[in-house]
Parts: sequence; structure tokens; C-alpha cells
Amino acid sequence: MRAPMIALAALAAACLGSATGAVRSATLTEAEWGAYKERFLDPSGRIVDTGNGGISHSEGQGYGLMLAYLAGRPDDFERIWTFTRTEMLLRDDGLSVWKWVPGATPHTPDLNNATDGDLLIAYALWRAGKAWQRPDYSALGRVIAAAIAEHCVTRWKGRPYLLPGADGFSAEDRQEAGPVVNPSYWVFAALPAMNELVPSPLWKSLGDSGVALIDETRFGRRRLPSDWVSLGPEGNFMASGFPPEFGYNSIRLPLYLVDGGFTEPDRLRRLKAGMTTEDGSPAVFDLAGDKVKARLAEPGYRMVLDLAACAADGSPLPAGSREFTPTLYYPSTLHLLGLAIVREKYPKCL
Amino acid sequence: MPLKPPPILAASIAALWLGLAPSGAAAAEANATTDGAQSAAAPAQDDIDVSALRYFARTGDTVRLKLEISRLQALHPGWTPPDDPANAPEPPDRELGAIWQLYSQDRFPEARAAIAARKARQPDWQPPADLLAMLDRSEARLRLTNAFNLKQYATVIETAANAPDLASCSEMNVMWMIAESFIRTDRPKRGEDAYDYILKTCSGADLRRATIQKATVLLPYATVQRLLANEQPASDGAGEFETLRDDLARRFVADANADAKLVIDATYVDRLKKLSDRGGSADDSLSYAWYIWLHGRSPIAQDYFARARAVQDSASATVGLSLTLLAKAQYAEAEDVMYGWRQTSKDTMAAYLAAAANLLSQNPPAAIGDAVMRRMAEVVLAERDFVTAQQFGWYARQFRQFDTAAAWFSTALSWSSDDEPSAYGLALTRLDLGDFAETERLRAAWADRSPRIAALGEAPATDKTQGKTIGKSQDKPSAPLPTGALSQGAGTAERSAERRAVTASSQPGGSSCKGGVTTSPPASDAAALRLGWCFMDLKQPASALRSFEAVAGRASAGQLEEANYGRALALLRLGLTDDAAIAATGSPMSAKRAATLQTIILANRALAAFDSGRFRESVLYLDQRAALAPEPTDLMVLRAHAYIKLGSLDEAGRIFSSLAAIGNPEGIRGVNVLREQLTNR
Repeated sequence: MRAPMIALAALAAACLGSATGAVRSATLTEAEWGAYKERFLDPSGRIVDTGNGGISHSEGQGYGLMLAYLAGRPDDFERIWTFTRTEMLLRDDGLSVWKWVPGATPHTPDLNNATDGDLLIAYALWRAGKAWQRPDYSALGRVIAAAIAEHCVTRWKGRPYLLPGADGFSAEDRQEAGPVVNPSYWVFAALPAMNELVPSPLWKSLGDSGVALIDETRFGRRRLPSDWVSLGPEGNFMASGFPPEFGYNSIRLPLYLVDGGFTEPDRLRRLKAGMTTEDGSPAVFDLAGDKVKARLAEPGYRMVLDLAACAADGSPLPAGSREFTPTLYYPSTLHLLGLAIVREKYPKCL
Repeated sequence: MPLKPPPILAASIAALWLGLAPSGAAAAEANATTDGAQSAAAPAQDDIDVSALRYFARTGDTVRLKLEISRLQALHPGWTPPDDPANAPEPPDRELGAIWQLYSQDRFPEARAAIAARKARQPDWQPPADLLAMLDRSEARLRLTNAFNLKQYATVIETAANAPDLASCSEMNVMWMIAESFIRTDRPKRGEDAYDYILKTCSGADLRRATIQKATVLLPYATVQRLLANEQPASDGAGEFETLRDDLARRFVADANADAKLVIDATYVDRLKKLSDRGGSADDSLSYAWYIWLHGRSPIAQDYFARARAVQDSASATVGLSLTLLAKAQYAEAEDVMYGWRQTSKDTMAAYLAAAANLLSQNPPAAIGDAVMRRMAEVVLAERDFVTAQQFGWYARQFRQFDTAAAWFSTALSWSSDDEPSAYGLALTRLDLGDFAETERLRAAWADRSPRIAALGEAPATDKTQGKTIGKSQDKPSAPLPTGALSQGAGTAERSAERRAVTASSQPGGSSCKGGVTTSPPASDAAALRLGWCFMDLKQPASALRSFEAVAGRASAGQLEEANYGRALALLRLGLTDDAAIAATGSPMSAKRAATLQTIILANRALAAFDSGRFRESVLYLDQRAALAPEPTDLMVLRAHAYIKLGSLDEAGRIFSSLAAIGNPEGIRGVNVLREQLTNR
């Protein structure tokens, strides 16, 4: 039984190789990446957020790089990277401008960065650099990792926290007792990679503080964290100036936890239960009013719940999550990322 | 030959100001300009990849064609371009042609993707080195430009350092951005080096001139002078920067106007003068006028300020003109030209107030018309300008309008509580008005800060004749006031109150309270009387009353009269007007003292009547009082308010107008209040 399987795998790799030029077997199929690319990747190399007026952002560029890597497509990786580097990776501190707007002059009206975008870009550079022997990618990833450590980390009560951006979120910038953070900016899987790029105990501590933040931040009847959280001397609270909601940001929390190896079943079950409505789909919740704000019907959102169930309980993926059909940029991205995690780490759920 | 450094040196400079070791590309650029020295290194013509050349020739992209020819020449010394680049031998590689096409359309991510796709498919395939070099260079240019547009100057410099062949004469825009990024990150010397490199190395008259223009915006005068030394003769024999010199003159003179310490070459000043003399713009005349005014106070400046105003009136030209008028002591003219511009800026207001203060401070006093007087007072009140308010005080004193003077000094002091000249003016005037208590209060408050105010207190308190010894010409300065540091656009004008140094008056005599008030009984009636007046000065009328009454019970006729007089005054001070009236009528007293008492009594009654709402009665008392003595301004104000209450607005208006005409603040306020009431009807 063993020999034919190996032969089959080799054959699959050879087929993929001839089709895409990848030197390794890909986690995402040609069809999946092709469908995603057709919908969301402009030939110029920018990932288009179809749910947000066709803008691009550093987070999307990071996701695009990661998906191109997972699809074994160095050509598309190069395409996205070239755009990112020339159009967005412009800040003096080595971080990326967070938003790129078509039709605007300049295309980058806001100079601030988004730390999760920078993490995703550096993480993708590290993975591709290692897999494809591209030391230039790794070297540029190292610059970004160092800049994150220098400009996007704050300390609160003895723990390090990721600031959502280099400017405007620290206690001093907000003129508040503590900083504002976004738990969904912790791309947990990226932190060990950052440690490879810029070795430091900081990254491990950041992972721990991020998990503790998720555990300690529970609002409303659903006991969920809000997208934006103020760290206060007497405990965390929903940040002023932001909607008091478990929103689109937070939807991806279980996915990031599972990808980062934080798979304690109780936590995953708790989050899954909190974010699931009676019809089984996840939703955006108003945590102040304990109301459902928007039910999220796209299969990519459901994928996050299915991934949590798979990791926590070994539940097999339902058909809707196994099949990828692009919808909007964000749920489609979550869908492919989820599929890749299941294929790499939980093949038994397939 | 025009100035040009040896090529190797030029390349080294380019590398140096980027902070790099001389790179291969820079060295190649340098080598390319050295004739035939490296012919041994020249490769065979056929080995050189001319695919880009062919592509650009076929698409008619002459700009890139030229760039590519010079690049290949730099890379391969001795190489000559094919006669017909469009038909140079065709490569078999059409896919590569497609990549070149993407590159030439600035579709760099797509070109990169195509290269990566092909390398993945054909691991042994290598893209042409020049394609990669040109992509690197173009992407670096794009990233550098994007970063520059976002003012991310560190990224600009980092990008340039990693793409050293970007810094070449064919990339002038890039070199300008690099230079500016150095300057804007506090490395002006590196910026200067970049401009200097361009001027020593690169040709192209327009680009060289543009380089000077950019440097002029960003670098100081002295640095630009060094860069200008790179000037080469133009084809017409004149210097290549000749056409810039008018603008340079404008720029440098403006710099010198903003920085008094900056000394610029006289040729620039002369050039600007000629521009103005030839009927130049208002700006040229104005800038020249300011220059010769600020650098030497030239009286000629007045002509050029006037010329600027004639072409186009402006705040700056008017301020300049008013300064030249002040310098010639033409204060009324200065006040007049500035009035219309006073609201434009802090500087214009300062210039107006300086003109007003000077106008008021002349000796002998200027005859100032009612309208001017009034508008000056209105501005001073609106601006709360204590300096000019104080001048109003001195001006009023010159006309012996002591009430008005006291009001102005008091107003000035309320706006600037530590202004000694205002305090001195007020104390002096209170003394003149016979208000010894107030004089004493001021003296006590200021004695440790102002010897001349301290000395005032030594005047005999009982000398009620309005000090003939207080010299009219002594209490005010005779020299014109300095006009302060008003300058064109250079901060706010500073005007020092101290410029109106007022000479101390020679008030004779000593205080009745000198040595303090003793508690032991006075030894004589004369001493008791002195003590009574002393208590009056100290605003202790009850004690004063006891002293005067003690004397009144026993004294001789002469002292009795003074005691009764003092008693009546003390009663008045205590608010016991009726008792005072009885005291005044019940004892023999000189006609003068009786009249004085009577006027005070009537004034008190007028006030009391007004306060209890009996306005007609108040006017009646004022009429009675007016029969005995001229009506002081405060009672005129009271009368006007009584008229308003009685509905006689016209009569009230006449009083306020006449008060306003002498600059009385209450009068001006009253006129305005009435005007508002009339318009609100």
C-alpha cells in the first residue's frame, strides 16, 4: 500500500510542477488559486478588497503573498511582492503604508501602518524565502520583523502587546491610561517565524500575551472580545471611538489560534459557541446591546467555525467548507487559509 | 572647455554622497567618458544583447532607445550601436520579447511574474542581466518617487543607496529627489554635494538651470553662491544662469529682508532696483524698499514704498511707508495711511498704534482733529493697548484735562498693572485733582519700585492749588518716539513702554503724614489739624472727624474755620451729606471753601438721587452745581446717563460726543451704546 501512495504523491507533485512551475507540491490547488486570483488579484499585483470599494491594504497583500505561496506560485508571489514593495512598503521605518486607494493621489492617503499586514507580509516572505531559496525575500522579511519589534510593540502591566499601528494607539497617543489593541492582529503562526528572522524572547511573550488577551477579554452575554480593546488599570474594556462589537476583525480569531498551534479545545469551543447564531452561521455581534448586527452567510466565515470544530473535536469538514467558491475578498481569503491549515495539519478532518 | 571634473572623480563623488564605495555601475559610467583607455576590455559586438535596443527602436520609443545606447556604451566601452537598431539580428526568443514589452510599459510586477514563471518552468533559463538591471532600476525609481511623494525621505535615500546607478545624469529627477531628501533630513551638505555633482557632471541647459532653481528653494544664500560658481557660458556668450538672475535677486533680497544678519552681494540689490526702476511689479519695488530701509534706514525707501502702493496697495507697503513717515516725524500722515490697514495683521495694528502714540506724544502737543482723536481712542480701547492709552493720558494733561488724563492712565494701568509710567501719570494727575488719598495709595503701592512715584508722596497734602509747580513740559518727553522693530513680515513689532521715559516732576514739600500717625494726643491745635488732614489722606474719615471736631470745640477763629471745613469734608467722605451741609452752613467759612463744599455736596446729592432712581432731581442738583463750578467729566457722564433714563437721548448724545471728542473712554463708549440703541430700535 505504501509504495503506490508515494508514487501517487510524486505524480501529483509532478503534475502540479508542470502546471505551475512550483518546485514543491502545493497546499492549494491550481483551481482554487485560479478562482481566487481571477476574482481578487489585479494583474498589477494588488489584492483587491471587493467588499471595501476595491481598495487594497497591507493585510490583503500579506494574505495574497501567503496564498500564492500555499498555491506554489512563485510568479504570482513575485507579482504581489513587486507591487507591495514599490507602492506600499514606503515608510521610513521599514513598515508598509496600510491602505492603497485606486484613483486617489497619492494612492496612499494615510501614512500609518497596520501591524497585522506587516506581520503577514514578513511571514509570507520568510516562508517563501525558505521554501524557494530566495534569501532576498528573507532579508526583506527581517527588515520588517525588526521594524515591528521596534515600532509596534508596547508594554502593559509587564506584558508586551502588539500595537495595531505604529502611530495613534499607545497610551500616550490616545491620552488614556492604557493602549488600544486589536486581538485579531495577533497572527500567531507568524510569531515563531519572526523569531527566526529576528531572534528574541519577545515573540514568544507576544504570543502568550495575545492568548491571555483573548481569554481575559469577554464582553456581553456572548462573552466575546471586541475588535478594539482598551487596556486599563482595572481591566480591559471596549475601546472608545470604535464600534462596541465582535466584528469582522474578530471573526478570524479561531483561525489564527489554530494556525498558531493554540488549539486548547475549551478555548476554541467557547469562542465557536459565542460567535455562532442559532442557524449555525457566525455573525457580527453588538456586544453593548447583545444583538446580532450581521449574519455572515458566506462559506468562508463558516469555514472558521468548521476549522475550530475540526481542531477541537476532530469534526470532519462539511462539504460547504471543503469546496472553495469565491464570494467576497475577505471570507474567500479565510476560506483558502482555513483549507490550507486543514490540509497541512488536520488531514483527518477531510 | 567648460568646468568638468575628471570622470573617475565624478563617479567617486556620486558614490560618496550616497555613502557608498564606488560601484561597478558608477565606475562604468565614469570609464565610458574616458577615451579608449579600456579598449582591451571591449567585448565582441555580437556578444552584446541588443534585444532591448531593437525593441525600443521598433516601437519608436526614442527616449528609452537613447538611454539603452548610453547604458550599453557605458557597460561596453568601445561598442558602437548598430546603424539600424530596429533590424538588428532577431532573437528567437519571443517570450523574452513579451517580457521586454511589459517592462517598457512600466508593468514591472507582470514582468517579474513572467520571469519567475519561466524560471520555474525552465530552471536552467536565466533572464538577461540587462533586463534584470533595468527592472531593478525602474522599480527603484518608482519606489523612490512614491516614497518622496509621501515625504519618506529615509526610504528615498535607502532606495537610492541600494540602486547606485540611479544617480546619473539621465535620472535628473531622481537626483533632485535624493538631494532634497538629504536636505530635508538635516544633511544639507550631502544635498549640496548632490547638486554640485549634477552641475559638475551633467549637461543640458534647462536641467542645469532647474537644478539651481531647486537648490535656491532649499538651501541658504551662501550655499547657492557656491553652486552658482559652476556656471558655464551659454551659446550667446552670457552665463548659462543669466536668465535666472532676476529671480535669484528677488529671492536673495527677500531672504535678506527676513534675516537682518544676512549680507548679500550688492549686485542682487542693484538688479532689483533696476527692475523696479524699469516699471517692475509692486513686489519688486516693495522688496527693494524694505531692503534699503532695513539695511541702513535709507530715506529713499519712502519713494519705493510709495511706488509699490501706487502699483498695488498692500499692508506691507503701507507699513513701510508709515515707518518712513515716522522717521521724518510726519506722525499725522503715518496715522492716516495706516488707519485703513490696521485690521490686516498684528504688524499693521502695531504700526498704527505706533503712529497714534507718536502723534499724541508731540511737544508742543499736536492739534488733532476730533475725528482722528476719536478713531485713535476707539482703536486703543478695542486693542487694549496700554502704551497708547498712557499717551492719551499725557496728551490730556497737556490740555489740563485731568479727569480725562486720570481715566486714561487708570485704563492703561488696568491693562498692564506693572506699567510704571502709567502709574506715575495717574499718581501725578490724582495729585493735581487733589485726590491725596488716591495719590497716597499709589505711592504706597509703587514706592519700592519707583523713586519718582515715592517722591510724589512728599508733596504737601494740604496744597490744593492744582500744582503750578508741576511743570507742563516736565512731565512728558519731548523727543519723538522710536518706532520699534517693525519690519516686513518679521514677527510682531516690539514697542516698549519704557521709550516714553517721563521725567520726574519736581513736586515740592513734604507729606502731612510724614513720620506716620502717632497715637499720642496732638500737642497743639495746629498739630491736631495736621493729624486730621493726615487721616483724610489715609482714608480714615472717622478719625479725621474726631481730630477736626476736637479742634472745632476750642480753637481760635482761623483754626476754627479750617476745622469746620475739615469736619464737613470728613462728613462728606463718610457719606453724611446732610450733616456736612449743616456743618458747612453753620459755621463761618471763606467763600472759596464754602463753594468747594457746596459743589461736593451737590455732586453727592446728584449721585445719591441718581442711585435711587430720581433722575430729574439728579439733573437738578447737577444744574445747581454747574452754577458754582465747571462740570467735570465724570459728572458729565452721570448727567448723560440721567438724560438717557429721562428719554432725552439727543442731549445725552451731545454730551457723550463732546466727551468722545477729547478722547474720554466713557464718552466713546456712550456714543457707541447710543448708536446701538438707535439701530436696534
